[in-house]
Amino acid sequence: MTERESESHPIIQANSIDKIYRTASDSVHALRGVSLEVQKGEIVAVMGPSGCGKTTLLNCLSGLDGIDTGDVQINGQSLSELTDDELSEYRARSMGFVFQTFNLLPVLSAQENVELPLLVAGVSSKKASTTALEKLDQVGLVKWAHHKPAALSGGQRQRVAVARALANEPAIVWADEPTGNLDSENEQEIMDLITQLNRDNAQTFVLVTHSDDVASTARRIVRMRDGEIIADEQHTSTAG
Amino acid sequence: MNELFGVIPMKPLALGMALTLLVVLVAITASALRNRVFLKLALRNIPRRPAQTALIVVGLMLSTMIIAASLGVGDTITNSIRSFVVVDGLGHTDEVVRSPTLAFLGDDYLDQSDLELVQAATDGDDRIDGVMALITERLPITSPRSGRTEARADIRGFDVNAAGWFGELKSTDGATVTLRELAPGEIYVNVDTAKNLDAVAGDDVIIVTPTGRHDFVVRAVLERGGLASTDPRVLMGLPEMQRIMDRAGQFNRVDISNRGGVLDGLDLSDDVTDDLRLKFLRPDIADQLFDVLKGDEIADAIDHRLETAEISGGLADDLGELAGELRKPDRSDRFAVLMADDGVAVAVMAGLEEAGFQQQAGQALPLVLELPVLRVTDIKAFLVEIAELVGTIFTLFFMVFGSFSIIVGLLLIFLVFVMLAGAREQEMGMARAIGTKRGHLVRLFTFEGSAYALLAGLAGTLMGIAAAFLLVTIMNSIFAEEGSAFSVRPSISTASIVVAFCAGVLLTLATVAVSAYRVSKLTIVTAIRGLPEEFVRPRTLPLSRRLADGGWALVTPARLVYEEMMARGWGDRRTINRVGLYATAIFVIGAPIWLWWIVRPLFEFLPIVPVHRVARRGPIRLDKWGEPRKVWKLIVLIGFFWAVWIWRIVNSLWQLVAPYNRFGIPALVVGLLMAIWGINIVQAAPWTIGASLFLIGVGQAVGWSLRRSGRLRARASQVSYTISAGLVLIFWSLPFDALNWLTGELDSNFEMFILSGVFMVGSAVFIVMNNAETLSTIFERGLGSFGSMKPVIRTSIAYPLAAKFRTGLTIAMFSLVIFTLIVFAILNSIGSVLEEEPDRVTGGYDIRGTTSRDLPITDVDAAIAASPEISASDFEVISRTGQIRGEARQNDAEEIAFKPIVIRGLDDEYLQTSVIEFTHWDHAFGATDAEIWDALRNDPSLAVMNGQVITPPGGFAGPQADQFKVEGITTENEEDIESITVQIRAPGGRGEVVERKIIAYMDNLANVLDSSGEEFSDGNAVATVLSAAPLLQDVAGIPVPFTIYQFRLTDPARADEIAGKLETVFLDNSMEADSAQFLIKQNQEQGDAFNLLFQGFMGLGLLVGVASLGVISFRAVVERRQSIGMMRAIGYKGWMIQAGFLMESTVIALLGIAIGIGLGSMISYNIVQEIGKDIEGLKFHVPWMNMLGIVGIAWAFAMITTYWPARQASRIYPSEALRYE
Repeated sequence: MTERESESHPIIQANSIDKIYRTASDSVHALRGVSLEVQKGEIVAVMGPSGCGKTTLLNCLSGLDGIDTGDVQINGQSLSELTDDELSEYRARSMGFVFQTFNLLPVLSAQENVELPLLVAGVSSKKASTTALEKLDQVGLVKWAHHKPAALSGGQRQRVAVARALANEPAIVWADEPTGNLDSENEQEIMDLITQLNRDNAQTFVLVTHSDDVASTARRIVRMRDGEIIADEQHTSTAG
Repeated sequence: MNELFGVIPMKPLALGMALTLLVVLVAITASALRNRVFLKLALRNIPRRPAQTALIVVGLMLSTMIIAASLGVGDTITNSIRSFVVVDGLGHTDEVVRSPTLAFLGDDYLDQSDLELVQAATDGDDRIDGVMALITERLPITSPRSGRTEARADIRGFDVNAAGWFGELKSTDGATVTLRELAPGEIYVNVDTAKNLDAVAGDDVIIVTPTGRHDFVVRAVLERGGLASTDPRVLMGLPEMQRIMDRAGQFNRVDISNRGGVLDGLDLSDDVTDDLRLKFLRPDIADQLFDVLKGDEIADAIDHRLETAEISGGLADDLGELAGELRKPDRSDRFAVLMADDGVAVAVMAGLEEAGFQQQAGQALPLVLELPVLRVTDIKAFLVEIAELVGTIFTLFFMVFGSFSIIVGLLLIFLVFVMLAGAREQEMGMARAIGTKRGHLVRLFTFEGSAYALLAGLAGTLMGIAAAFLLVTIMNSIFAEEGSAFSVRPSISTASIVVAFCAGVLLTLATVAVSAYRVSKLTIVTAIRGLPEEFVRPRTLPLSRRLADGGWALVTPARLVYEEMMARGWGDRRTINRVGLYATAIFVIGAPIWLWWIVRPLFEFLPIVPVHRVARRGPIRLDKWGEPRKVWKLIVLIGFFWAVWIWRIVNSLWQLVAPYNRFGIPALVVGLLMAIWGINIVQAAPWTIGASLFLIGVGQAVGWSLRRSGRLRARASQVSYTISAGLVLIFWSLPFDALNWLTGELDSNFEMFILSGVFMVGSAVFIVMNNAETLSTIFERGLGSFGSMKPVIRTSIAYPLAAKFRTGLTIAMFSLVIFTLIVFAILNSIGSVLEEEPDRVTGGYDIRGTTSRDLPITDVDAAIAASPEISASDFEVISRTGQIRGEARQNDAEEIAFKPIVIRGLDDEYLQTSVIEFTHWDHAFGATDAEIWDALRNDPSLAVMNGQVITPPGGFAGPQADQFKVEGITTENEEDIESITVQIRAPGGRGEVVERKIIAYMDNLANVLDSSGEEFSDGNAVATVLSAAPLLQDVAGIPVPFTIYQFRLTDPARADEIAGKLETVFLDNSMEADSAQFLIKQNQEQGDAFNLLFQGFMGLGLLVGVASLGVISFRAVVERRQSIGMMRAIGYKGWMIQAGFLMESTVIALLGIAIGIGLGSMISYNIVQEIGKDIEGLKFHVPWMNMLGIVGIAWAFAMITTYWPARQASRIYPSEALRYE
């Protein structure tokens, strides 16, 4: 896909997706015919009460989870056409993830954690090391590069997670409750960081949150209830 | 098996252990009922994850399995030998009566008056149901039809009237036959004889006796068992046998059958033997003997011999009893009976000489020889004891070397619980936060652990029995010769099952308790937040408080009473109840102390703590099993308080010194004291443990000084631990005699092998795990250029090196097993020196032939010249040797007792042609081996001895009390030594004492094949003296025929063929001949087969190591679910996750394998150097193929075990994993 084509298409396009979780005795309809388009460079916040399907939507859109019906296209590429390995490769090159529980590998230092997606994408060790330090510098943690996650505070851990998510300069960053475990001061720092990176690099951010403060930094808020999008509103944020 | 390791009686042990387990389980159950919430929590954890529970049970059962397997092998061997030797070999014969002429070259035939004496003694005795006179001789038999011969068949003539009492005879066609049916000139042969002769019923055969050749017809071929026995046997009537032996009216044995069946008769054997001995001795001689020996002095000397000669079993009981009899004023019948026992008499005579009672020894000796009129041997009981001994040796061997696997199994149990604790750390942290005490957590884990332990004990015992039976079946197929009567009969006694189960469960429970205690020490904050423990410094109580606690500990009983009183006051009913409970506990908890009393002899066997010596010299004499009964009640009474008291004192002492541990003071002081103690009691184990502790202390002291000086402050601990472990590793890697200048020669045994393995592996693993970061960098740099594997390599190194404790444990497990396997593989390859330099073993001869002393060759050259089969030109040299048993002692030596030896007289040919080498010789008699042999030829007053009489200056071979050893020369001496003089005499002090000057000592390889085809092999006499032929007659007093012929051939390639022909030519002399190459090969093959079997057993240990990798991997998949999800999210492909897990196992397995190989090779090198002192030319040789095999199998197993969890991990769906909590 050329640059021109990609500009003419939304970067994320979901058409009537359904997701049903089945157990032996029960089934839960997590997503019901959800359709959504996200343009390149947007910050989209997905909000809604607990259990409304926010995380499921994010997982389905990013290819972490499969869907039962419908179609998800990223940059015009239908995810359902990709094998598991191709999906992994796609994530390695084009996506970054930030989660509520940070999910840093505890046995690796901050720098090594940030290097990991670069190494997975086939970048040389030397380049990975330089890039990781640059990214840590961007999040203000270059001094903590050699510390393991256990030695960092919650805010610091999340900043390392953000640095890791951005290491490959992905087109899309998916963030599931990125500030859920942080206090308001750290929350603000992380959101400032995200908006600044979005401004500088024109990366697309999809945030799942139930924090109004976090949502307020997004340009667009998608509201969900019971597996359906009930509102999709443009928001005049302080950012960008 | 009746005794574990030959010292601990199995039944009381089983009872004691069962009782102890019962007490422990009752205590746990009582505690569980009082803490039902924790019981519920514990039990609910078990079915939560069935797969994990199954894995835990498998992990826990492996130690039990190895114990059960060792005991099962021992029982099976004991039972198989017993069945073979006793049931099939002896049949109904329980005791045998022979001439008192101990078969030392004299005529040992009895006549009618002797038989009448036996009949008079047994008539009307309802314990005896059969008495039968017989002649038994080893003679050649040949079949003219098939041309085949059996050089030493057991030819027996039975009193046909009495034979009916000794069981039925069955022919191979199923018919019952009797000896009465035999007509003159007819015999029965058993299936073994028939097979060797290729004979069938109706065949003519020839039996050769000293009187000539005798023709017989085979009436029938008999099945094995009873009178038809298990080795090649020929049966006939007594008159026929008397005729062919020219022994009219004579016989050489009377067999006695006790009432009851084949095995029931055993119960009466002791009584019957004692009574018969009493009836068959001369009371007047017994009186005279008592007058010579009575009194405390000689009784004490016997006691002393009991200690120093390390005598055990029945003989020890008898000697102890005899010492008691000697202290009595009057001679008892018991004294006479005991002295009529050959074993007791020999031990007493040796004791007298050793203690310097030369005069009494001189007086007693002729009396001892005259005492019995007839010699009674409880042959069945004796053979049963031998069967027990062999079973015990196997059990001991498997258990000692299996102890590595048992240790590894216990580490696995520990690991399993560490990981379980890891999994529940957060919930336990929460539980602690809301007020749960440490003790509650210990209980929670102990309850859960007990359930696992019982399940695992049961499964392990069953699996162990199965493994034992499998092993012995394999062993049977390796050792069993075609058509051999011996077959393995799998069996295991109830006592063994109980011991294995209880030992397994108790060991598991102990390990569970230790790990539970470790778990309970968790810090709440770190547990809840998932932080590493090093974030928290341990709390130290102030010195005053620690001192006060120490003071309280010194008066523990007073404190217990005080606490009770302060809590509720004396009058309170609950206080009275509690005191009653204490009283009950004193008795109930007495069980473990009783167990300790049972286990005490183990320490006698493993000379770590020579308790028995202290006990014997102490105020309470504990040297007889019977006597402690008088004091055990007292011991039990004080046991409880004693145990609690000591525990409190030790604990408070530890608390007192623990803060100073970082200065290294406790380790330095305790280590030094223990090392000095070890040197003082001449024991290597306490010395090496003490020295290791001391070196650990040195490392800690260095760490403290680094911290203090500010240098390397950040890495002080790492440096300190590395130095400690490094010093310990260097210490254990030193050659065994490196520090002899400091310690002198120390006694050691198998325990040193175990200790060296544990210390070396422990310290090496400690070094590796302490420097994990450095290693990790090296690994990464080394493997960094593998493209897409880079991230996989990074995490698969980082994960195991981050979990240092569990990785260290697993590496240690792997290393220990590989260590043992490598040591065995290397030591196994030593034997190749026999193949490389055969002349050192064979003396340059190609065939070795032995003949019967009763059928000597009169003129070997003439016989060969007359033979159409072979010609004189086939032979370059024919040498002849005669041999007898004897005793010897060194002139002017510290040891004054005569010790058993083998005496060899060599003919001129041998002395001229032997190329056997000498390791030490007196250069005054010659400069080369040939000159020494020449000196012997020219001067019959000179002699040489075998190399085994020279003691190595330390290492594995400790002093052996019953062996003849030369004093003043060690294997470390230069070649040139001073000659010594030895006194030599016939066994039992008969005949004249002859002196010979020993001018040289042979290469140790020289008598490797000595036992092959020997007419006798005396297990006790490994010492051999060799001189010109006149020595034999000088000692024996009568001419001694040559019985060993060694042939050097003009064409050595024909050795096997000519050996076969020699057997035919010298059939009348009962010659058995084999080529030297065949004997070497046979020797090597048996060794190889055993080592292979043993490696198989050790493979069980490998199973444990591999299981631990499986446990770790399964656990890792659960623990790292979210991380795996995250890795998948950032682009890891499924195969990368799988490869990562496999690589982690590879890292652990390879580290373990590398450490095991390195250390195993190092200690093997030291062992080879040590053995090399005895066997010149021994080379350290690495069996690469065998080693590669071990590495390959270990690694492959590691991969197989990890494959399943790795595959599971790779299939985790990222969104599911990330959702998981």
